[in-house]
Amino acid sequence: MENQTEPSLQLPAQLSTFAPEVDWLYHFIFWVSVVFFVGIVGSTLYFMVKYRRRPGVKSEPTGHHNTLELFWTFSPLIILFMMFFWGWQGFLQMAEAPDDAMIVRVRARQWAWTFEHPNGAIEDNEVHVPVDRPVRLVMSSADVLHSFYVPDFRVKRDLVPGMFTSLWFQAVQRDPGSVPDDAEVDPNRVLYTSQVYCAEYCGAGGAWGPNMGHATMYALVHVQRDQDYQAFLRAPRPLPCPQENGTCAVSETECSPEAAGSCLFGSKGCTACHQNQAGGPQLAGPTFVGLWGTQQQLTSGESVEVNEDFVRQSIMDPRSQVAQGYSPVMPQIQLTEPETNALIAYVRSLGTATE
Amino acid sequence: MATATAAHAHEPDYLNAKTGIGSWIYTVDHKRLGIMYLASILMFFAIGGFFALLVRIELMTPGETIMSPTMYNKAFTLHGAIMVFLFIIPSIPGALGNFFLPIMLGAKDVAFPRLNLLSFYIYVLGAILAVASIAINAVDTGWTFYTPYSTRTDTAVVWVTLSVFILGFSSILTGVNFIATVHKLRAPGLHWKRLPLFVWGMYATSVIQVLATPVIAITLFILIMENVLTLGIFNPQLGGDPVLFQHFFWFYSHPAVYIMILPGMAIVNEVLATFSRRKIFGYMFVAMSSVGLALVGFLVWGHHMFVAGMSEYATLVFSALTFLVAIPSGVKVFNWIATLYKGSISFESPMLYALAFLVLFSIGGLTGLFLGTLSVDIHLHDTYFVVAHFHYVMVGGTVFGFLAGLHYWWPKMFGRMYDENLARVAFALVFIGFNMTFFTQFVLGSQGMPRRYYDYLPHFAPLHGFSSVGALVLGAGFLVMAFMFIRSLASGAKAPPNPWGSAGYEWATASPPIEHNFHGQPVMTRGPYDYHLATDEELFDGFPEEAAAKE
Repeated sequence: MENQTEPSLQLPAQLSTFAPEVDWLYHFIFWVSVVFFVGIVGSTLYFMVKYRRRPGVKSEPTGHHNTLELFWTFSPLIILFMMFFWGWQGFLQMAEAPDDAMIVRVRARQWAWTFEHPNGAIEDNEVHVPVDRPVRLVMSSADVLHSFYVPDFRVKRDLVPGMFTSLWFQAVQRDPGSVPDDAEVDPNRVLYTSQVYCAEYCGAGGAWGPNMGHATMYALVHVQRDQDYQAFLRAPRPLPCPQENGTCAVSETECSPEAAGSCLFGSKGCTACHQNQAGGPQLAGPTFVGLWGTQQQLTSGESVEVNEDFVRQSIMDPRSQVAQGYSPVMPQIQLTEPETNALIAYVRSLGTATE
Repeated sequence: MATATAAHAHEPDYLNAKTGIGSWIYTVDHKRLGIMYLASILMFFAIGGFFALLVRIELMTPGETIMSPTMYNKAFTLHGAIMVFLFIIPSIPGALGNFFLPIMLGAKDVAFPRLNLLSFYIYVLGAILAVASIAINAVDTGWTFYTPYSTRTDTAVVWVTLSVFILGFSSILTGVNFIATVHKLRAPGLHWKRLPLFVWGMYATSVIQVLATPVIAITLFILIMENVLTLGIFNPQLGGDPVLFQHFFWFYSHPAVYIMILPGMAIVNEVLATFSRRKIFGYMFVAMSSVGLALVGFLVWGHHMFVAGMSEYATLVFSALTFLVAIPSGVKVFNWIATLYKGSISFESPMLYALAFLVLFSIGGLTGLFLGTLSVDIHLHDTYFVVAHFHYVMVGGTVFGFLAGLHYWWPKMFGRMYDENLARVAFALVFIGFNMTFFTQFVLGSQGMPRRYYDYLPHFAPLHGFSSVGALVLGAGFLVMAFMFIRSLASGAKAPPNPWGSAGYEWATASPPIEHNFHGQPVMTRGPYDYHLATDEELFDGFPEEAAAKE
């Protein structure tokens, strides 16, 4: 079936190999429903007019008609079976990924996504994938239920803490031929970008920032030509920097470790539990404002100074040093060395910038 | 039916038979308990509706409109939990069932009147706890209390689940009471094939209440234990399984959908029969389809979990069984339409709600087909499509059924008529507002808008805005209705015993009924829908005394 690459009134663009079949079945059920609905409402309206109460006209006693009863009891089973069977077939295709599917690990936590490519490259809240190749996501959650949902691909699967779940898709070309096969390899060339949502309620809260809960737990899928994707995997990944419009992005211009750290603080999901605004509400974890250089009581009874070593240790192995009064709930977060250093620099800047 | 209706005038009705606060607080009269339930559930309907309006106003524009994300999460949770546990589940059985089930059986009261009183006070206790929990820190888990979020949030989950746990006992006791009443207290001549379909519906509902409610009680009790004693049953950090909670939860909460919808269908039977002056077509098929829904309803809970990480084969079985639900639902709709055929149809407000039920429930049912179909459900699951679907069933079905019943039986319960024109204005606003609000949400959902979102991307803004305007129209409709009913209580015209000219058994008593419902023991000599067998006197819609005086 041809993919319809523009959204229709009812459904998003069809950008995976699943989408045309799912939509065909959707429309089949839609038209069956329309026929039944018109039949039901049409006959109701007709009877309402034809048999409206008129003086002198009495209702006829109700007879019974077993053949009619049996007919409308059992005949819908045929249509229902068709829906069930086709739905099951489509579901089986989605359940079993091809053996040659490329595997991307997905880790979710309140309220951020981390993607790990086969070569170990990490992305936060966005993921690059090759077009026309099966991609299998192996997913886990560090805290509560989440659900990975890409409407354009018609895929969705819950992430359940304590187990792996998985889904697969194969993104298709949106504009075949727009980028010739022999075009120069460019790791930054993206054919199109699709929206990822979290579809399982996972709470809200946290410091003000890009992640404030379930409703903003967005991510983006960037679909690339395979050769561009391969180049993307090998390309050096500079740290994100604050942009003039208030967002963060990886760009040509470099910035200080503190500034990069402020971006990572949002994209890694630290804002869910750590307050970075003076006067903001207390969250699940220690507030960083004014923390640097103070003595921190630990649940072990020890007291340590908040310095580079302590922060680094807390990020690398969160459960090893738990601050007094807090629960050991912080998940381990995958960071590169420059990312860790940027975050430490950011925490330091918050601590020394007290009013 | 043979019962002496003419001699009622001199005996005080149930509202005036005893006086004083104590006569209400300690009453074991099923009618008074019905009225007390009615007042309670209407209050919670108003509170739940208030939270619904908060949710829709927040969503009227993207970004923050009136509240923070955490407030929003509490608002939609409270809307759902209050509507489900404090309004819909007890609504029709507690209020209208209590009032009319014994009368329709020709009985003086339910089988266990004191148990009935206990059941009401358990409901009150549960309700007080629920309200207290709002004051403590409310709850932000969604009405489904999914773990592990519900064991990690710092809101008052324990209080609310304890409240639902307690409310469950009320539901079970009402169910037991109704089953016993239907089996033991039917009047002479009232054999099963003459049983009013409202009673059949209540009976099927009671069976589910008795069988399913203990499961949610145990589940929520375990959840409370997990929260309080840090047991590891659902929490993966303690070795538990969060998907197990979902199985337990939906093992109750799917049958609970039928606890909600069967009573609505039951009322529609009565109203359609009365206003088309005809016995419900395929009476036994309609009665048995209620029982069928009650049974199949127990086997389909897994369709709430198609993307939750169940095995493919479990998914296959649950999808197949889910399609079976369509059969008894379809049977009912087809038989209702066939009932109109060759009837003598009039369009007073109860009938308008019943006909609207037919339309809205059909939309709710047909959109269920999309969600039962596995590959299509993957896309639609946990989107606004689901929100729209269950609101068409729960509001378009149950609430419209409840409103049909409330308008239909209002004159019987309070002995006063209401302003029919105002009732029709309210109906129009509610019907239009409801469809504006929720039909829009089908489109939002199929376009990919996930549910329980505080904020949304800009391309969803027009449909969200339209849906919110619809919610305001809907709210306005309910305000008009509230005004109309209050005015009826204050200054409504006196209602005759049988204002709709129905052949139903409950219309043979006075309006409002006397304390013991009937003088002596009624004997049923015809079915409740046998218009061709009913005498003109039985179908007379005016005041018998005045008619007698004229002669």
